[in-house]
Amino acid sequence: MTSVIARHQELDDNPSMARMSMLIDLTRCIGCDACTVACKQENGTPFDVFFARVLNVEAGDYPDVMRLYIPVLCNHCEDPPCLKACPNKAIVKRQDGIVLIDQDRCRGTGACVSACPYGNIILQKSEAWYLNPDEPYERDFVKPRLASGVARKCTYCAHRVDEGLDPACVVACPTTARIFGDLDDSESRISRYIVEEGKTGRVPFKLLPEAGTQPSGMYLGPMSEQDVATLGQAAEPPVAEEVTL
Amino acid sequence: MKAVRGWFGILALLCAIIPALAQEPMPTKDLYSTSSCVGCHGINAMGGLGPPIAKTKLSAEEFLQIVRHGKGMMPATPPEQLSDTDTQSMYRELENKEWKPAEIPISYKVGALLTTRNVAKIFLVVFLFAAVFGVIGWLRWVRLAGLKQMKPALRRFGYGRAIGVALQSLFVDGFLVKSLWDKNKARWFAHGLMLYGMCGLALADILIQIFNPTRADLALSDPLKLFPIICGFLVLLGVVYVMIRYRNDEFIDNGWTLGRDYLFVTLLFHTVLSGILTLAINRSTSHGWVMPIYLYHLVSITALIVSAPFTRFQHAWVVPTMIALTRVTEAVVAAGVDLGFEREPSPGRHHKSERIAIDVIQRVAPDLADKVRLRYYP
Repeated sequence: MTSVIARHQELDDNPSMARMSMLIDLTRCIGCDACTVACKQENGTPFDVFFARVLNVEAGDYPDVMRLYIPVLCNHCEDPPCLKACPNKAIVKRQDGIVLIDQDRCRGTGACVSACPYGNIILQKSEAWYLNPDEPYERDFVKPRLASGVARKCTYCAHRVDEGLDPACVVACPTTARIFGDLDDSESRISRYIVEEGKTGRVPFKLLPEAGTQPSGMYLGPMSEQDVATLGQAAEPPVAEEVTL
Repeated sequence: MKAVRGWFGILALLCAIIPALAQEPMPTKDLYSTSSCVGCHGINAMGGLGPPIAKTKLSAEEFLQIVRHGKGMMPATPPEQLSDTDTQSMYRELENKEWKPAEIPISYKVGALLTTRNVAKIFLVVFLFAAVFGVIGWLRWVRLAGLKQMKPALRRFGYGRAIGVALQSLFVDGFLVKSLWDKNKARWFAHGLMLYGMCGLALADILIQIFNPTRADLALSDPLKLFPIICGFLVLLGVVYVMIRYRNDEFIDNGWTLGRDYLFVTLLFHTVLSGILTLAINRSTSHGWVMPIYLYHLVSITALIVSAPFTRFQHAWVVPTMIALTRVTEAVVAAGVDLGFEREPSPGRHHKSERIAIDVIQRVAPDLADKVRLRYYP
């Protein structure tokens, strides 16, 4: 794992003012879990470990109900509490804002796990694998990629970002609900997307703003719940007649 | 490390610009002028580091009592050094000495403000300030961990049982620093120098408050003196180790907290070093340096405590709390208290997922937010 984590010292040679961020459009997400699977494939995570997961949420009572899929991954906070909680300084924040857990330094203390208000840091004492541990694929390819008994989490696919690629979950999303890029670059896909959607009154929000972590990950709410006035149509949506049985 | 060297410079400068305040005793025949009392109370008994004692208002009994037992920074003088008779004649000498207010030195005027009681008052305010901000910050950390969201599960698990798990974790993971012991014994030892050294200093302070409330100067062999000195040296050793590590560890900069980490280590270093210097100089003959260095010691402690909730110092209470909460969450899931799932790769994730879901629904459809369900817990 360490080999794929570009340390921030390496970035010092190539200082950039990048601020990497991911925007998730909840209107587009269909809850297919392709991101979850792509992430597992990219990172070779053990059984039950998901860096990118999708919350399957039901809200309200019939007939006033909604279902919402909320993809959740490490928010790579501006003010990361996991980093401040780590007693061993194993968590680093790169200059482009990506927060990484150094797998060599981590001692599996477990302070960061509680510190993350989003529950995005995974720490297991023992881990299970999908195939027989002695299968050549598991033994030679998957298991050696991860240190055991240390904390780990989404890296925004830092190894891919350094190569100029999008994270695996972004590439895999069939509905392009995930938009990744540099917020400081006004020409990046994410910046243009925010401007474009802003014209219809859609403003991105962040998870648990009261936690004060200033996440870099952002969400756009589902259009079905959006105030239509902002779309330049009638201010009041037509009121459905009450049905009495 | 440059910052640390800079602080060294300031310390040196401070020592240089504050003139030595000692008054050399002059050889005269009377008992007082030839005694070591002059070092602190001045040649004319109008004060030095200690108070003026010319025209003393003390009774002869009180005078003898203070000479024998010491008071504040003043050491006790045994009968072998100054007999009861000599003490009585010195008392009469002092009663007849001329009162010369113009001779009261500035060092005493400063020193007079630093009575045990005044210093205690200042530190009470400083501690309260740090405690208020420390608790506010600590509550934020507990909120991040989602303790409130875990309440129903904790109730089923049993609060007493949860507190038991937390206390065990606070002792094993926090006080004994188990994760460090498992990983690297040398690092554990260096960390222990500081951790247990500072615990020892705190314990020594409590013991001194009980057994030596006037904080009279004690002999070096006295356990109440020896114990804090040893602890101070242990902390200093540990801090020096950390400073060397900060210099050599190429990954010490995590890109976010380095300044706050340096501040803590630097302030701790200055506090302990100035404390040891105060003690060493107080025992030597150059008493003039005691006051400036003691003042510097007090300022360092104040800065260390006031900044504690904002520097790396806060790891001392934040990290054990966070680990304890992780252990409690693990125990709750392992106990299988009807949570709807059997395993959890990230302790506390289910409660936090619920919090995220409610937060998002509140934002996109506030009228539905009171009925939010997660269909499963990935």
